Amino acid sequence: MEPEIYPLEADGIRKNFGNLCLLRDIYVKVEPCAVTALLGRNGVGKSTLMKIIYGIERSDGVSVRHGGKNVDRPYKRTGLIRYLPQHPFLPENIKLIRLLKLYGTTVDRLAPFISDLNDRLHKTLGELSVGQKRMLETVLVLTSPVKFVFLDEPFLGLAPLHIECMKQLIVSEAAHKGILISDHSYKHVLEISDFCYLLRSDGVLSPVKDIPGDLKKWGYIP
Amino acid sequence: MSQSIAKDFRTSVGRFDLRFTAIIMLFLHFYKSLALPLLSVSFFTWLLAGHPGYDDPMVSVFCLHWFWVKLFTTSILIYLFREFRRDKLYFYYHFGISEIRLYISTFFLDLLAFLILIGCFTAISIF
Repeated sequence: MEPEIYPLEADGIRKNFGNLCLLRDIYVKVEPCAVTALLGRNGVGKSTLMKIIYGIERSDGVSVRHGGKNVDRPYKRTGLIRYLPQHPFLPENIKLIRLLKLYGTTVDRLAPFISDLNDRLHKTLGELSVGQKRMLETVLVLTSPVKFVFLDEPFLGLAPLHIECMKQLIVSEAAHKGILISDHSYKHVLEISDFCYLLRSDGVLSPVKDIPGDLKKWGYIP
Repeated sequence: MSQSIAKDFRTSVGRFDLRFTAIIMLFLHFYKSLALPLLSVSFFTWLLAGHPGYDDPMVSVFCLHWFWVKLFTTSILIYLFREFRRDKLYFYYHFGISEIRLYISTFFLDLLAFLILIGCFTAISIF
């Protein structure tokens, strides 16, 4: 089996905030060439879990493996993984064309999301609207030449048409990379997901087999 | 066959150059975001010390004190950055650059920048 199609596995993930146990001995596997959904109520720790696996958040225990080998701080491994955070992160004073080159993506990937793109290539990010910046950030991370992509609320603030375009892009990118996606627009997420986990309020991560049965049982949907 | 080997070598060197250049650019970009307050502290300290150039016998004493002032003020600035603009770090994480490397490179780039500025001042004052 070629290393390029090994899953990304993380286990033993524990995170406590004082007396509160946020994440309880979690095991998660992100399959290559597939979309894995990560659902959960507000504040249960979905973003924290993603950041721990990504390697930028400390935890009380974590072991990340790819190809059977331990990976220390996965974000430092070239070509392995990128994470789209919930909040804006791109610097305002970099030109669009330079960002495309840095992230290794092409104009045609971005064209469906930003109007008059060719006229904006030599302008800075500050000239885009908030929604356009969000779409840009999502496309840059999603189309990166990496094996795994973690998307945290990629549909946040997007118009319905752009959500559909983004879903198509996620599905096309999933043909050659593993994607872990978390978004409160759970119906959109489930439409494109091959696997699903629910992070429960008690800090346990459960695979979801029966939709919507398991989601109702664990109090995610009414 | 030797032509294809040479071509592969040139391509891999080219990729290395591109990646190395991109990393340097990223460090410089991060430094640029903090350059104004950092250089202002250096400039203010230098003025207080009587703006010594490299031809001034007291410049080594100034540099020693300035180094410790910079260490202290840069630490405060980095603390403030982490408190209020931490989200901007994700951009650098995407290229495998850790927080520590960013802060250390910023500190030394800042020292270098100001030492070069003192050099320019010295050259101008001499000529």
